[in-house]
Amino acid sequence: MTELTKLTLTEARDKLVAKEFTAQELTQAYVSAIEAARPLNAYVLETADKALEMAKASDARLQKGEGGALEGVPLGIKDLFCTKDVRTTACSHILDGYVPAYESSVTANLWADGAVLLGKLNNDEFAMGSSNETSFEGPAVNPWRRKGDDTQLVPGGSSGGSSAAVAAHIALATTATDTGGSIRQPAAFTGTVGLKPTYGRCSRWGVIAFASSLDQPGPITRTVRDAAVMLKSMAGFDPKDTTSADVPVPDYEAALTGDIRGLKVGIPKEYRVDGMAAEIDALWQQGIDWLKQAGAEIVDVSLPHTKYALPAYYIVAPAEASSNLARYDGVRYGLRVDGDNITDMYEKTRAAGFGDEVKRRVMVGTYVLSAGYYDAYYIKAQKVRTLISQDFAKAYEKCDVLLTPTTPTPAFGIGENIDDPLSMYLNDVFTVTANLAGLPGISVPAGLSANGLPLGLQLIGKSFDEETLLRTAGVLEEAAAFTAAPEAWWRA
Amino acid sequence: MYADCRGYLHHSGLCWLQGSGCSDNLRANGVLSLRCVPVLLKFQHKVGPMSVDQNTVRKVAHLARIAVQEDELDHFAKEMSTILDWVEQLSEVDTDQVEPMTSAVAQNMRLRADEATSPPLRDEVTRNASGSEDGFFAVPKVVE
Repeated sequence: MTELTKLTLTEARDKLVAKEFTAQELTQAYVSAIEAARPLNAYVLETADKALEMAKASDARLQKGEGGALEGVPLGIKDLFCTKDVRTTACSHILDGYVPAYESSVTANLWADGAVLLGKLNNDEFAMGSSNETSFEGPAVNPWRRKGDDTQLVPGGSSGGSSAAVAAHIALATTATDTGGSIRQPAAFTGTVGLKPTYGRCSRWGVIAFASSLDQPGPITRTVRDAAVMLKSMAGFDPKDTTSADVPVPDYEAALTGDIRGLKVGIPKEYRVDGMAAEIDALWQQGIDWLKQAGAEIVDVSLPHTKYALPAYYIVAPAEASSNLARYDGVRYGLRVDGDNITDMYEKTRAAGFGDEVKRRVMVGTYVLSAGYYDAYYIKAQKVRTLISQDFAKAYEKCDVLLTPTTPTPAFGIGENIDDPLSMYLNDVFTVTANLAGLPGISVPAGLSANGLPLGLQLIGKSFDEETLLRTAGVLEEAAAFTAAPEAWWRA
Repeated sequence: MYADCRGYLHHSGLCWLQGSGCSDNLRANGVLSLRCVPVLLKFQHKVGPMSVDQNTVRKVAHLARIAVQEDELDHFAKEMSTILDWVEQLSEVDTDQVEPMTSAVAQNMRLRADEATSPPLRDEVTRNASGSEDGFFAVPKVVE
């Protein structure tokens, strides 16, 4: 790690404006760091030439004092975001060689603010997974390892490349997407900050769809302040996404006052579950104490339908996925496997192009939407979703924000859970509720497990109240003073 | 038949479930994959006949337009059954007076005028196609 890649996004931004170094120098430092970190498999496409070209243009604007909010800031982009003329495959074989003719709204916002594209980041195929192991490009690897053990660990998923890149300092910040926990869980596994905004806050236009009523783009960063700056640039009303919210985007950085006196923090009792690892429980209690010491009032709340969130999710998400993924038919883009007739061509293309987890979810989704089952599964799950949402509404009559653990365990080894879909799904047990209710959530690194791995605490906020969420996260971050970092074993 | 599972999530590959008849033996017997099933949030798994049989897999695979080989049917049937049996616990929830959620965030669907908003993009749109001719997508013959 060089002096330049040690900086946080906000530090680098300020030093670029102060002309302490150039965007080209900063970008070159990252390009070299990326080359030296290939064993992490975080990037599935490196765009060094484009990055340096963009940095040069940033330097010209900075020179004239015309820089945007992220001028010269080098970012990694999850491969789920369409990037114009830059290969985008969602890490699926079925999108082999796909080069979008357009730019996603979120990335367009980032480039308009002066950010620099370092490359495309690994993720679970179509964002379906919690470990980055379902990627057609192979798993991304967590920069962190257990104490005295060189087992390769997963960086979480689906945004595993995004979390690994931020933790390894091979991107200043990254974009990610969260359908059931895919921003917050990888952030917790890598000691980074992951923010899932309110549904509708960031446009989904140009983000390859998984489950449209749950998907939401957001950033993974090294600090809460960096997340505030990234969200400000990523967010905004977009007429091209019918579910984009036409509401003003506040200055999130200004919300980081550090003052949470009188804030009511809810502790949902249903998240304190039987058999939860003692160290997770202890960390949660520590988080409660930190917020109390900062002047917050702790309130016990109940979210009685919590235990039904994951099963409801595993009906809604596959159902929507089966519909969204119908477009991959070998006709308009990506892979085609020839067949005897057009149906045979579709079936062979999809059999060869989709990985096991994607097939499993598309088939489950097709089943629950099929004639005779729609009411029993899909409508039932959407009703349970209403109840989960009402649970939150009731809790928010008594509090402003909720504090929970992000994940039930620290990062696990590559291959340890891959054969057991249900066990893998459980990673999202604390995060999936926010997706079902459309609420914003953030994971903040808060401590280390006994074997030296990062653990995260999650805050869940009220709809469109990312300001309170970020302010509270800032206080948590300061109290936790998480400074541990992985050893750079990946550098030869 | 139900097995009440209590224990906790792990990643070591061995079952931690204590004393509830929920062990790797069940998997070895081919009944249901219960290894590491959560247990975080106490719930009940149905251990019984599989809810999805091979014929259903064949039908669903065709609806989903995914070619499935005969020797894969059993594997898919087991996996789909595990997932569908697990989501079955939603039947415990009384939803009689509950409206299904239609939008995660309360908002009205916006409408827009029905008019062209971009220039013609035929070349851009077809450039990623595995087969295209004269600005059209090309597919195998569909009419006899």
